Amino acid sequence: MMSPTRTPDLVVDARAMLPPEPLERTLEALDALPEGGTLLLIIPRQPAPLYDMLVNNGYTYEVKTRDDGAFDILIRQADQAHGDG
Amino acid sequence: MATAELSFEQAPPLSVPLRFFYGAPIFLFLAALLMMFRFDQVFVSRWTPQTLALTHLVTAGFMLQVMLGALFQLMPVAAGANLWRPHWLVWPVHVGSFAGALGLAWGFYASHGAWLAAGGVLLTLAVLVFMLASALALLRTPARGPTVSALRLAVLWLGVTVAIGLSMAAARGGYLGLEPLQWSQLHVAGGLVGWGGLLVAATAYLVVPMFQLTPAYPAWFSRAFAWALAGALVLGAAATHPLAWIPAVVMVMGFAVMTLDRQRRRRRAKTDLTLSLWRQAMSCVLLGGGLSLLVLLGENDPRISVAAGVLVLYGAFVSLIAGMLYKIVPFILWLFLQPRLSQVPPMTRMLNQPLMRWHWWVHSGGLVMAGLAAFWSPMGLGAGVAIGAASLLLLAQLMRVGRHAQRALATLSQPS
Repeated sequence: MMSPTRTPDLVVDARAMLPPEPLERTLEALDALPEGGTLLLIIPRQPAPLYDMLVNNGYTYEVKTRDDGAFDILIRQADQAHGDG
Repeated sequence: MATAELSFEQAPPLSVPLRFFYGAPIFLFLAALLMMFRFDQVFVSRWTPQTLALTHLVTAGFMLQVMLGALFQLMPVAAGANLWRPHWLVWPVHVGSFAGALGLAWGFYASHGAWLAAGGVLLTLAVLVFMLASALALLRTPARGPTVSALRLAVLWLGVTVAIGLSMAAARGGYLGLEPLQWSQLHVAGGLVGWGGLLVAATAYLVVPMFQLTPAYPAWFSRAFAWALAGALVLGAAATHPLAWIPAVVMVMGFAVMTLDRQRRRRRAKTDLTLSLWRQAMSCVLLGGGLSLLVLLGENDPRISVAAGVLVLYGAFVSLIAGMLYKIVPFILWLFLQPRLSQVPPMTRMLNQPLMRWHWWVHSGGLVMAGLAAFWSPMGLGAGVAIGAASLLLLAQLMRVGRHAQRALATLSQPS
């Protein structure tokens, strides 16, 4: 499991973005993510196409619902996630 | 959860919805030609052969094409309802509905019974194939929720509309001893409210929050609306009095108020063309619904009926559909390209923004002129010119998106 308390290295706040800008920005951010880093995506809906892309590209993710109904999606490389146990 | 999940991995091959979307503007262009050359006939009454041809070019042509294409995409993605072999199924549905709508419109225009019957039968067969496949998929899907219920009811009303339409066409062609006008109210209400209205609602629950960044429709509203509207339509059909249709009209107007309210509360201040077209559509539902109420209450002036028809068909449905095509076509092409390319062109760049603004003005001008033509028919010439230009601008934009995708894919096949 990922540590829920760790501060993410990069944040994409997509709450005011129209599809597919949240996906475009997230994929750009993943390219810039340092080794072992985490990316937090804040988005008003579950990004179904992104989940497939993440799994296919070797990332893992954890989804949490915010009080305002938006979702926090914490993403990191799958092999790094195993290290956290 | 605020909004339903979408399963994009279930999407059909791209060519399935796109062939409907690219073919649809042709019907709008033909409708515009009819306005240009027969404006003295099409705007004087609901019942002239030219008006009936025009109405069916827009409804059985433009609207049905986009609605079928959208359902091929939407049912598996949004409702988990996988159609059986969509790449085979699409052939009879597309060819039959396209040719059937053309035959039907020509049959009305030329008052030719055989064309009416042939067009009606082709269209019915196409819809029947689609209905059977979609009913099976919608009954078997494990998904639940307001979109699935509204889709099921919408497809049911499509069947009712087409069955009555075929009987009316057969009667008009002299093949069936039935008074066609007796069934027209149910045909119109079933098509515009039952099929069109419920399909718009089913889609709106997903796309309005997603593409316009609005709050979701209230749960009580999206749960109850489709069933209440279907009940109001049954009431209208069962009672013989025109006043019995009033609850259905009022409910559709309520949906427009709810949608405008959602859009007023959106999280993003910036407007785009899709939002403007949706707002125009919902405003036209309110205006057209108001005029329809006058007609149901006994207003006999044919100009009021024609103006209501213009507002509902062109102002509401065509506006909304154009707005949706500007989102759906780039979006499904973007989703197709994303896993295949490292550098996908941004979706907004696939469309030409200045030309889209031109489209908005030409489309809105066409709407105003078509509305005025109900009261002064020569205005119909201007409406025809504007709507013809709007249909070509829409088609040009959709083709531009397709070309962008093709160019992006071509970079893949080039030797490095």
